Amino acid sequence: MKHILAIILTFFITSIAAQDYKDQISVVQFSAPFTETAEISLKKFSDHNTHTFHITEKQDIFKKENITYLPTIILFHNGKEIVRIESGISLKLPEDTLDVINDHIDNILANKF
Amino acid sequence: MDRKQKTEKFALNSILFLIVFFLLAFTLSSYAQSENKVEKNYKVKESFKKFYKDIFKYSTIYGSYSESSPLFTPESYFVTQLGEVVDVSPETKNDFSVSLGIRKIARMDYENRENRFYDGSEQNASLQSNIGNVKGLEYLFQYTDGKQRGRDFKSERYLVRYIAKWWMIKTEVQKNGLINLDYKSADLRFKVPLFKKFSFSIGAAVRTHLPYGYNPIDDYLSENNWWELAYEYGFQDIGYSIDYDYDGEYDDFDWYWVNEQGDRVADTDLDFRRNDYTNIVNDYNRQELNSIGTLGTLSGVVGLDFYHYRDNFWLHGWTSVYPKHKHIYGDENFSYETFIGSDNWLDYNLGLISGWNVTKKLGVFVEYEKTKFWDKNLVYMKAGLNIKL
Repeated sequence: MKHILAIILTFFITSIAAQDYKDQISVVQFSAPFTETAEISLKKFSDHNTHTFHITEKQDIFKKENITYLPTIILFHNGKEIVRIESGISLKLPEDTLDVINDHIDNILANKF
Repeated sequence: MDRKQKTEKFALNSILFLIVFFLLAFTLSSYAQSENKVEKNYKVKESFKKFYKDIFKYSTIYGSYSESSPLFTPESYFVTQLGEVVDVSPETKNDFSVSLGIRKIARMDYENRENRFYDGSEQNASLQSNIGNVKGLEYLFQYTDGKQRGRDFKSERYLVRYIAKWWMIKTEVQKNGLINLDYKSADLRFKVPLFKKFSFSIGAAVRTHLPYGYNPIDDYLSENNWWELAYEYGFQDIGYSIDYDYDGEYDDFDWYWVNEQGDRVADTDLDFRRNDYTNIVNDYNRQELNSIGTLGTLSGVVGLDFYHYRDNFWLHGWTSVYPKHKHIYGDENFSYETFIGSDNWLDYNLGLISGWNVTKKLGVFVEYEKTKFWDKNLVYMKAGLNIKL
Protein backbone atom coordinates (compact mmCIF):
# COMPACT_ATOMS: atom_id res chain seq x y z
CA MET A 1 0.00 0.00 0.00
CA LYS A 2 2.81 2.38 0.89
CA HIS A 3 4.43 1.75 -2.49
CA ILE A 4 1.21 2.51 -4.34
CA LEU A 5 0.74 5.75 -2.39
CA ALA A 6 4.36 6.69 -3.06
CA ILE A 7 3.92 6.06 -6.80
CA ILE A 8 0.70 8.11 -6.92
CA LEU A 9 2.29 10.93 -4.91
CA THR A 10 5.36 10.95 -7.15
CA PHE A 11 3.14 11.03 -10.20
CA PHE A 12 1.15 13.97 -8.84
CA ILE A 13 4.22 15.98 -7.87
CA THR A 14 6.04 15.38 -11.14
CA SER A 15 2.89 16.09 -13.17
CA ILE A 16 2.23 19.30 -11.33
CA ALA A 17 5.79 20.56 -11.17
CA ALA A 18 6.90 19.61 -14.66
CA GLN A 19 6.84 22.03 -17.56
CA ASP A 20 5.09 24.86 -15.79
CA TYR A 21 6.14 27.23 -18.57
CA LYS A 22 3.38 25.55 -20.60
CA ASP A 23 0.62 26.19 -18.05
CA GLN A 24 -2.73 27.63 -19.09
CA ILE A 25 -2.09 30.18 -21.85
CA SER A 26 1.67 30.73 -22.10
CA VAL A 27 3.60 32.67 -24.70
CA VAL A 28 7.24 31.56 -24.70
CA GLN A 29 10.01 33.25 -26.61
CA PHE A 30 13.15 31.18 -27.26
CA SER A 31 16.15 33.32 -27.98
CA ALA A 32 19.82 33.92 -27.28
CA PRO A 33 21.96 36.87 -26.27
CA PHE A 34 23.07 37.39 -29.86
CA THR A 35 19.46 37.55 -31.13
CA GLU A 36 18.15 39.88 -28.44
CA THR A 37 17.63 42.65 -30.97
CA ALA A 38 15.31 40.40 -32.96
CA GLU A 39 13.15 39.56 -29.95
CA ILE A 40 9.69 41.07 -29.67
CA SER A 41 8.05 42.44 -26.58
CA LEU A 42 5.52 40.07 -25.02
CA LYS A 43 3.94 42.82 -22.91
CA LYS A 44 0.85 42.66 -25.07
CA PHE A 45 0.16 39.24 -23.54
CA SER A 46 0.60 40.31 -19.93
CA ASP A 47 -2.85 38.92 -19.07
CA HIS A 48 -1.35 35.49 -19.68
CA ASN A 49 1.91 33.75 -18.79
CA THR A 50 4.94 34.99 -20.70
CA HIS A 51 8.50 33.67 -20.65
CA THR A 52 11.67 34.49 -22.53
CA PHE A 53 14.36 31.82 -22.40
CA HIS A 54 17.92 32.16 -23.60
CA ILE A 55 19.70 29.12 -24.92
CA THR A 56 22.66 29.83 -22.69
CA GLU A 57 20.53 29.31 -19.60
CA LYS A 58 17.88 26.74 -20.54
CA GLN A 59 19.51 24.38 -22.97
CA ASP A 60 17.44 21.42 -21.83
CA ILE A 61 14.18 23.20 -22.66
CA PHE A 62 15.46 24.20 -26.11
CA LYS A 63 16.34 20.58 -26.77
CA LYS A 64 13.03 19.30 -25.47
CA GLU A 65 11.05 21.75 -27.58
CA ASN A 66 13.19 21.07 -30.62
CA ILE A 67 14.08 24.71 -31.23
CA THR A 68 15.98 25.12 -34.48
CA TYR A 69 15.71 28.85 -35.18
CA LEU A 70 16.28 31.84 -32.94
CA PRO A 71 14.17 33.57 -31.97
CA THR A 72 11.16 31.27 -31.94
CA ILE A 73 7.86 31.94 -30.24
CA ILE A 74 5.55 29.14 -29.14
CA LEU A 75 2.03 29.55 -27.80
CA PHE A 76 1.13 26.81 -25.33
CA HIS A 77 -2.25 26.00 -23.84
CA ASN A 78 -2.33 23.60 -20.89
CA GLY A 79 0.85 21.91 -22.02
CA LYS A 80 -0.06 21.65 -25.70
CA GLU A 81 1.71 23.56 -28.43
CA ILE A 82 -0.86 25.65 -30.29
CA VAL A 83 1.30 27.58 -32.71
CA ARG A 84 5.02 27.96 -33.37
CA ILE A 85 6.43 31.02 -35.11
CA GLU A 86 10.06 30.79 -36.21
CA SER A 87 12.41 33.46 -37.44
CA GLY A 88 14.03 31.22 -40.04
CA ILE A 89 17.46 31.90 -41.42
CA SER A 90 16.77 35.65 -41.50
CA LEU A 91 16.84 35.66 -37.66
CA LYS A 92 13.80 37.91 -37.79
CA LEU A 93 10.29 37.06 -36.68
CA PRO A 94 7.48 37.71 -39.18
CA GLU A 95 5.81 41.10 -38.91
CA ASP A 96 2.42 39.61 -38.12
CA THR A 97 3.75 37.50 -35.25
CA LEU A 98 1.78 39.36 -32.57
CA ASP A 99 -1.43 39.24 -34.61
CA VAL A 100 -1.09 35.51 -35.24
CA ILE A 101 -0.55 34.77 -31.57
CA ASN A 102 -3.37 37.10 -30.63
CA ASP A 103 -5.78 35.35 -33.01
CA HIS A 104 -4.93 31.97 -31.53
CA ILE A 105 -5.37 33.28 -27.98
CA ASP A 106 -8.70 34.72 -29.03
CA ASN A 107 -9.80 31.29 -30.25
CA ILE A 108 -8.72 29.65 -27.02
CA LEU A 109 -10.58 32.21 -24.93
CA ALA A 110 -13.71 31.98 -27.06
CA ASN A 111 -13.83 28.23 -26.35
CA LYS A 112 -13.75 28.83 -22.62
CA PHE A 113 -17.04 30.76 -22.62
CA MET B 1 -41.44 45.14 6.33
CA ASP B 2 -41.13 48.25 8.52
CA ARG B 3 -39.41 51.51 7.71
CA LYS B 4 -36.17 50.52 9.46
CA GLN B 5 -35.91 47.28 7.54
CA LYS B 6 -36.66 49.04 4.28
CA THR B 7 -33.91 51.55 5.04
CA GLU B 8 -31.45 48.77 5.85
CA LYS B 9 -32.35 46.87 2.72
CA PHE B 10 -31.96 50.03 0.68
CA ALA B 11 -28.55 50.68 2.30
CA LEU B 12 -27.32 47.18 1.47
CA ASN B 13 -28.53 47.39 -2.10
CA SER B 14 -26.84 50.77 -2.39
CA ILE B 15 -23.53 49.32 -1.16
CA LEU B 16 -23.73 46.48 -3.67
CA PHE B 17 -24.66 48.92 -6.42
CA LEU B 18 -21.74 51.19 -5.53
CA ILE B 19 -19.30 48.28 -5.61
CA VAL B 20 -20.48 47.28 -9.08
CA PHE B 21 -20.47 50.91 -10.18
CA PHE B 22 -16.90 51.50 -8.98
CA LEU B 23 -15.83 48.25 -10.55
CA LEU B 24 -17.11 49.41 -13.91
CA ALA B 25 -15.82 52.93 -13.34
CA PHE B 26 -12.39 51.54 -12.52
CA THR B 27 -12.34 49.60 -15.77
CA LEU B 28 -13.52 52.65 -17.67
CA SER B 29 -10.95 54.91 -16.03
CA SER B 30 -8.13 52.60 -17.05
CA TYR B 31 -9.07 53.41 -20.62
CA ALA B 32 -9.67 57.09 -19.98
CA GLN B 33 -6.22 57.51 -18.41
CA SER B 34 -4.54 56.50 -21.63
CA GLU B 35 -6.36 59.28 -23.45
CA ASN B 36 -4.84 62.63 -24.19
CA LYS B 37 -7.48 65.38 -24.25
CA VAL B 38 -6.06 66.90 -27.40
CA GLU B 39 -6.12 63.68 -29.30
CA LYS B 40 -8.63 63.36 -32.03
CA ASN B 41 -12.19 62.28 -31.31
CA TYR B 42 -11.83 59.04 -33.10
CA LYS B 43 -9.35 57.86 -30.48
CA VAL B 44 -11.96 58.43 -27.79
CA LYS B 45 -14.41 56.47 -29.85
CA GLU B 46 -11.89 53.70 -30.26
CA SER B 47 -11.34 53.64 -26.53
CA PHE B 48 -15.05 53.31 -25.81
CA LYS B 49 -15.31 50.68 -28.51
CA LYS B 50 -12.58 48.73 -26.76
CA PHE B 51 -14.30 49.24 -23.42
CA TYR B 52 -17.57 47.98 -24.88
CA LYS B 53 -15.73 45.04 -26.41
CA ASP B 54 -14.04 44.11 -23.14
CA ILE B 55 -17.37 44.18 -21.32
CA PHE B 56 -19.37 42.19 -23.83
CA LYS B 57 -16.86 40.12 -25.81
CA TYR B 58 -17.46 36.40 -25.20
CA SER B 59 -20.75 37.13 -23.44
CA THR B 60 -23.94 35.30 -24.38
CA ILE B 61 -27.49 36.53 -24.14
CA TYR B 62 -29.80 33.58 -23.77
CA GLY B 63 -33.43 32.73 -23.30
CA SER B 64 -34.87 29.27 -22.87
CA TYR B 65 -38.08 27.43 -22.12
CA SER B 66 -38.08 23.89 -20.79
CA GLU B 67 -40.93 21.57 -19.91
CA SER B 68 -40.87 18.05 -18.55
CA SER B 69 -43.15 15.49 -16.98
CA PRO B 70 -43.23 15.74 -13.19
CA LEU B 71 -41.79 13.07 -10.91
CA PHE B 72 -44.04 10.06 -10.44
CA THR B 73 -46.54 10.47 -7.61
CA PRO B 74 -48.34 7.36 -6.41
CA GLU B 75 -52.13 7.50 -6.67
CA SER B 76 -54.01 8.10 -3.42
CA TYR B 77 -57.57 7.06 -2.64
CA PHE B 78 -59.96 7.91 0.16
CA VAL B 79 -62.78 5.60 1.14
CA THR B 80 -65.84 7.36 2.58
CA GLN B 81 -67.99 6.08 5.40
CA LEU B 82 -70.45 4.85 2.75
CA GLY B 83 -67.75 2.85 0.97
CA GLU B 84 -67.27 5.20 -1.97
CA VAL B 85 -63.76 5.42 -3.35
CA VAL B 86 -62.56 8.94 -4.05
CA ASP B 87 -59.38 9.53 -6.04
CA VAL B 88 -57.46 12.14 -4.05
CA SER B 89 -54.21 11.89 -6.00
CA PRO B 90 -52.66 15.33 -6.32
CA GLU B 91 -53.12 16.85 -9.77
CA THR B 92 -49.84 16.76 -11.59
CA LYS B 93 -48.95 19.21 -14.30
CA ASN B 94 -45.74 19.37 -16.25
CA ASP B 95 -42.79 21.14 -14.66
CA PHE B 96 -41.57 24.09 -16.67
CA SER B 97 -39.19 26.99 -16.49
CA VAL B 98 -38.43 30.10 -18.49
CA SER B 99 -34.97 31.61 -18.18
CA LEU B 100 -33.57 34.84 -19.49
CA GLY B 101 -30.03 35.98 -18.97
CA ILE B 102 -26.71 37.26 -20.08
CA ARG B 103 -23.49 35.58 -19.05
CA LYS B 104 -19.79 35.87 -19.42
CA ILE B 105 -18.35 33.16 -17.21
CA ALA B 106 -15.29 31.21 -18.26
CA ARG B 107 -15.51 27.48 -17.71
CA MET B 108 -12.55 25.77 -16.11
CA ASP B 109 -10.70 23.54 -18.58
CA TYR B 110 -12.08 20.37 -17.02
CA GLU B 111 -15.66 21.57 -17.32
CA ASN B 112 -17.34 20.32 -20.44
CA ARG B 113 -19.90 22.51 -22.01
CA GLU B 114 -22.78 20.12 -21.57
CA ASN B 115 -25.02 21.71 -24.15
CA ARG B 116 -24.24 23.63 -27.25
CA PHE B 117 -26.57 26.29 -25.93
CA TYR B 118 -26.88 27.95 -22.57
CA ASP B 119 -30.27 27.37 -20.96
CA GLY B 120 -29.79 28.76 -17.47
CA SER B 121 -29.20 25.41 -15.74
CA GLU B 122 -25.40 25.60 -15.86
CA GLN B 123 -23.33 25.20 -12.71
CA ASN B 124 -19.77 26.48 -12.76
CA ALA B 125 -17.27 25.27 -10.18
CA SER B 126 -15.10 28.28 -10.83
CA LEU B 127 -17.67 30.57 -9.24
CA GLN B 128 -16.94 29.13 -5.79
CA SER B 129 -13.22 29.29 -6.30
CA ASN B 130 -11.10 32.42 -5.93
CA ILE B 131 -9.41 31.93 -9.25
CA GLY B 132 -11.03 31.89 -12.64
CA ASN B 133 -9.94 30.49 -15.95
CA VAL B 134 -9.47 33.99 -17.30
CA LYS B 135 -8.52 37.28 -15.72
CA GLY B 136 -10.78 40.29 -15.91
CA LEU B 137 -14.50 40.79 -15.81
CA GLU B 138 -17.02 37.96 -15.59
CA TYR B 139 -20.71 38.24 -14.90
CA LEU B 140 -24.02 36.46 -14.86
CA PHE B 141 -27.47 38.03 -14.79
CA GLN B 142 -30.26 35.49 -14.85
CA TYR B 143 -33.97 35.43 -14.15
CA THR B 144 -36.00 32.22 -14.05
CA ASP B 145 -39.72 31.73 -13.62
CA GLY B 146 -41.42 28.37 -13.54
CA LYS B 147 -43.14 25.54 -11.76
CA GLN B 148 -41.57 22.47 -10.22
CA ARG B 149 -43.28 19.68 -8.31
CA GLY B 150 -46.46 21.69 -8.33
CA ARG B 151 -44.83 24.79 -6.84
CA ASP B 152 -44.50 28.07 -8.66
CA PHE B 153 -41.11 29.62 -8.20
CA LYS B 154 -38.99 32.55 -9.25
CA SER B 155 -35.28 32.61 -9.13
CA GLU B 156 -32.80 35.41 -9.70
CA ARG B 157 -29.05 35.31 -9.79
CA TYR B 158 -26.80 38.30 -10.36
CA LEU B 159 -23.07 37.95 -10.15
CA VAL B 160 -20.20 40.23 -11.09
CA ARG B 161 -16.60 39.18 -10.57
CA TYR B 162 -13.38 40.88 -11.50
CA ILE B 163 -10.14 38.98 -11.09
CA ALA B 164 -6.84 40.81 -11.45
CA LYS B 165 -3.38 39.54 -10.66
CA TRP B 166 -3.23 41.09 -7.20
CA TRP B 167 -6.87 41.49 -6.22
CA MET B 168 -10.36 40.28 -6.88
CA ILE B 169 -13.88 41.43 -6.16
CA LYS B 170 -17.08 39.47 -6.31
CA THR B 171 -20.63 40.58 -5.68
CA GLU B 172 -23.54 38.22 -5.80
CA VAL B 173 -27.29 38.31 -5.32
CA GLN B 174 -29.20 35.03 -5.22
CA LYS B 175 -32.90 34.60 -4.72
CA ASN B 176 -34.21 31.09 -5.21
CA GLY B 177 -37.86 30.49 -4.45
CA LEU B 178 -37.44 26.72 -4.67
CA ILE B 179 -35.05 26.48 -1.74
CA ASN B 180 -36.10 29.69 0.03
CA LEU B 181 -32.71 31.28 -0.52
CA ASP B 182 -32.26 35.03 -0.32
CA TYR B 183 -28.57 35.81 -0.19
CA LYS B 184 -26.37 38.75 -1.02
CA SER B 185 -22.64 38.97 -0.71
CA ALA B 186 -19.74 41.21 -1.60
CA ASP B 187 -16.19 39.92 -1.34
CA LEU B 188 -13.03 42.01 -1.78
CA ARG B 189 -9.63 40.33 -1.53
CA PHE B 190 -5.99 40.94 -2.14
CA LYS B 191 -4.23 38.06 -3.84
CA VAL B 192 -0.70 36.77 -3.83
CA PRO B 193 0.24 34.18 -6.46
CA LEU B 194 2.43 31.48 -4.94
CA PHE B 195 4.63 29.05 -6.89
CA LYS B 196 2.66 29.84 -10.07
CA LYS B 197 -0.15 27.41 -9.28
CA PHE B 198 -1.21 28.53 -5.82
CA SER B 199 -3.02 31.70 -4.95
CA PHE B 200 -3.31 33.06 -1.42
CA SER B 201 -5.99 35.66 -0.78
CA ILE B 202 -7.04 37.75 2.17
CA GLY B 203 -9.83 40.29 2.53
CA ALA B 204 -13.31 40.90 3.79
CA ALA B 205 -16.78 39.76 2.84
CA VAL B 206 -20.24 41.08 3.60
CA ARG B 207 -22.92 38.42 3.62
CA THR B 208 -26.62 38.79 4.26
CA HIS B 209 -28.70 36.06 5.77
CA LEU B 210 -31.87 35.19 7.58
CA PRO B 211 -31.69 34.80 11.35
CA TYR B 212 -29.96 31.46 11.76
CA GLY B 213 -30.13 29.47 14.97
CA TYR B 214 -33.41 31.10 16.08
CA ASN B 215 -36.69 29.21 16.08
CA PRO B 216 -39.61 31.58 16.84
CA ILE B 217 -42.04 28.82 17.82
CA ASP B 218 -39.72 27.79 20.65
CA ASP B 219 -40.03 31.26 22.16
CA TYR B 220 -43.78 31.29 21.64
CA LEU B 221 -44.33 27.93 23.32
CA SER B 222 -42.15 28.84 26.26
CA GLU B 223 -44.70 31.52 27.17
CA ASN B 224 -47.97 30.20 25.70
CA ASN B 225 -49.93 27.01 25.33
CA TRP B 226 -49.75 25.46 21.89
CA TRP B 227 -53.50 25.76 21.24
CA GLU B 228 -53.42 29.53 21.76
CA LEU B 229 -51.53 29.89 18.48
CA ALA B 230 -54.27 27.87 16.76
CA TYR B 231 -56.88 30.27 18.16
CA GLU B 232 -54.89 33.17 16.68
CA TYR B 233 -55.20 31.49 13.31
CA GLY B 234 -58.98 31.25 13.62
CA PHE B 235 -59.29 27.62 14.68
CA GLN B 236 -61.48 26.57 17.60
CA ASP B 237 -61.48 23.42 19.68
CA ILE B 238 -64.60 21.84 21.06
CA GLY B 239 -64.26 19.38 23.89
CA TYR B 240 -66.04 16.07 24.12
CA SER B 241 -65.97 13.07 26.40
CA ILE B 242 -65.81 9.40 25.45
CA ASP B 243 -67.49 6.47 27.11
CA TYR B 244 -65.59 3.52 25.69
CA ASP B 245 -67.45 0.76 27.53
CA TYR B 246 -70.94 2.35 27.49
CA ASP B 247 -71.20 2.13 31.25
CA GLY B 248 -72.51 5.65 31.55
CA GLU B 249 -69.20 6.97 32.85
CA TYR B 250 -66.77 8.90 30.74
CA ASP B 251 -63.40 7.20 30.29
CA ASP B 252 -61.57 9.81 28.25
CA PHE B 253 -61.91 13.25 26.76
CA ASP B 254 -60.52 15.08 23.74
CA TRP B 255 -61.16 18.05 21.47
CA TYR B 256 -62.20 18.25 17.89
CA TRP B 257 -61.23 21.27 15.83
CA VAL B 258 -63.08 23.54 13.42
CA ASN B 259 -61.68 26.20 11.12
CA GLU B 260 -62.84 29.79 10.70
CA GLN B 261 -65.69 28.67 8.44
CA GLY B 262 -66.91 26.20 11.04
CA ASP B 263 -65.79 23.13 9.09
CA ARG B 264 -64.53 20.26 11.20
CA VAL B 265 -60.85 19.78 10.30
CA ALA B 266 -59.64 17.35 12.97
CA ASP B 267 -61.28 14.84 15.26
CA THR B 268 -58.71 14.98 18.05
CA ASP B 269 -55.93 17.19 19.33
CA LEU B 270 -53.38 14.73 18.00
CA ASP B 271 -55.03 14.70 14.57
CA PHE B 272 -54.99 18.51 14.57
CA ARG B 273 -51.33 18.78 15.61
CA ARG B 274 -50.29 16.24 13.00
CA ASN B 275 -51.99 18.06 10.15
CA ASP B 276 -53.22 21.66 10.33
CA TYR B 277 -51.00 22.70 13.21
CA THR B 278 -47.75 21.99 11.32
CA ASN B 279 -48.86 24.51 8.69
CA ILE B 280 -49.66 27.00 11.43
CA VAL B 281 -46.19 26.55 12.96
CA ASN B 282 -44.47 26.92 9.59
CA ASP B 283 -46.47 30.02 8.78
CA TYR B 284 -45.80 31.52 12.21
CA ASN B 285 -42.06 30.87 11.92
CA ARG B 286 -41.97 32.35 8.43
CA GLN B 287 -43.86 35.47 9.50
CA GLU B 288 -41.73 35.99 12.59
CA LEU B 289 -38.47 35.51 10.68
CA ASN B 290 -39.68 37.87 7.95
CA SER B 291 -40.53 40.48 10.57
CA ILE B 292 -36.97 40.26 11.88
CA GLY B 293 -35.75 40.78 8.35
CA THR B 294 -32.37 40.19 6.82
CA LEU B 295 -29.19 40.43 8.84
CA GLY B 296 -25.76 41.38 7.60
CA THR B 297 -22.39 40.06 8.73
CA LEU B 298 -18.97 41.44 7.87
CA SER B 299 -16.33 38.71 7.98
CA GLY B 300 -12.61 38.50 7.53
CA VAL B 301 -11.71 35.92 4.92
CA VAL B 302 -8.60 34.00 3.99
CA GLY B 303 -8.37 31.82 0.90
CA LEU B 304 -5.99 29.39 -0.73
CA ASP B 305 -6.44 28.03 -4.24
CA PHE B 306 -4.57 25.60 -6.42
CA TYR B 307 -5.12 24.88 -10.08
CA HIS B 308 -3.32 22.50 -12.42
CA TYR B 309 -4.69 21.21 -15.70
CA ARG B 310 -3.43 18.80 -18.30
CA ASP B 311 -5.63 16.59 -20.45
CA ASN B 312 -4.59 13.48 -18.55
CA PHE B 313 -4.60 14.93 -15.05
CA TRP B 314 -6.19 17.90 -13.38
CA LEU B 315 -6.48 19.11 -9.82
CA HIS B 316 -8.40 22.15 -8.64
CA GLY B 317 -8.63 22.85 -4.96
CA TRP B 318 -9.92 25.89 -3.12
CA THR B 319 -10.76 27.01 0.34
CA SER B 320 -12.18 30.16 1.88
CA VAL B 321 -12.16 30.46 5.66
CA TYR B 322 -14.11 33.12 7.55
CA PRO B 323 -12.75 33.14 11.10
CA LYS B 324 -13.81 36.54 12.46
CA HIS B 325 -17.20 38.23 12.17
CA LYS B 326 -19.05 41.40 12.98
CA HIS B 327 -22.77 41.94 12.89
CA ILE B 328 -23.26 45.11 10.84
CA TYR B 329 -26.95 45.55 10.28
CA GLY B 330 -30.36 44.18 11.14
CA ASP B 331 -31.70 43.37 14.59
CA GLU B 332 -28.63 42.42 16.61
CA ASN B 333 -30.78 40.44 19.08
CA PHE B 334 -31.21 37.83 16.38
CA SER B 335 -27.68 37.87 15.00
CA TYR B 336 -25.74 34.64 14.89
CA GLU B 337 -23.11 36.38 17.01
CA THR B 338 -25.69 36.83 19.77
CA PHE B 339 -27.01 33.31 19.31
CA ILE B 340 -23.67 31.60 19.89
CA GLY B 341 -22.28 34.31 22.19
CA SER B 342 -19.08 34.85 20.21
CA ASP B 343 -17.81 36.63 17.11
CA ASN B 344 -15.19 34.10 16.13
CA TRP B 345 -16.98 31.05 14.85
CA LEU B 346 -15.52 29.34 11.79
CA ASP B 347 -17.35 29.48 8.47
CA TYR B 348 -15.77 27.94 5.43
CA ASN B 349 -16.18 26.73 1.89
CA LEU B 350 -13.75 24.24 0.43
CA GLY B 351 -13.67 22.10 -2.62
CA LEU B 352 -11.56 19.69 -4.60
CA ILE B 353 -12.05 18.56 -8.18
CA SER B 354 -9.66 16.10 -9.72
CA GLY B 355 -9.55 13.74 -12.66
CA TRP B 356 -6.88 11.33 -13.80
CA ASN B 357 -6.77 9.38 -17.03
CA VAL B 358 -4.57 6.63 -15.64
CA THR B 359 -4.39 4.94 -19.05
CA LYS B 360 -6.15 5.57 -22.35
CA LYS B 361 -8.95 3.32 -21.17
CA LEU B 362 -9.05 3.90 -17.44
CA GLY B 363 -9.95 7.13 -15.72
CA VAL B 364 -10.87 8.12 -12.18
CA PHE B 365 -12.44 11.30 -10.88
CA VAL B 366 -13.47 12.90 -7.62
CA GLU B 367 -15.42 16.04 -6.80
CA TYR B 368 -15.96 17.28 -3.26
CA GLU B 369 -17.33 20.49 -1.87
CA LYS B 370 -18.24 21.41 1.67
CA THR B 371 -19.78 24.62 2.91
CA LYS B 372 -20.39 25.54 6.51
CA PHE B 373 -22.02 28.95 6.84
CA TRP B 374 -23.56 29.78 10.22
CA ASP B 375 -25.45 26.65 11.26
CA LYS B 376 -25.92 25.44 7.68
CA ASN B 377 -23.83 22.54 6.45
CA LEU B 378 -23.82 21.54 2.80
CA VAL B 379 -21.81 18.68 1.38
CA TYR B 380 -21.50 17.55 -2.21
CA MET B 381 -19.41 14.60 -3.25
CA LYS B 382 -19.00 12.62 -6.42
CA ALA B 383 -16.39 10.01 -7.24
CA GLY B 384 -16.10 7.28 -9.78
CA LEU B 385 -14.17 5.56 -12.49
CA ASN B 386 -14.59 5.03 -16.22
CA ILE B 387 -13.36 1.99 -18.09
CA LYS B 388 -13.55 2.17 -21.88
CA LEU B 389 -13.90 -1.24 -23.51
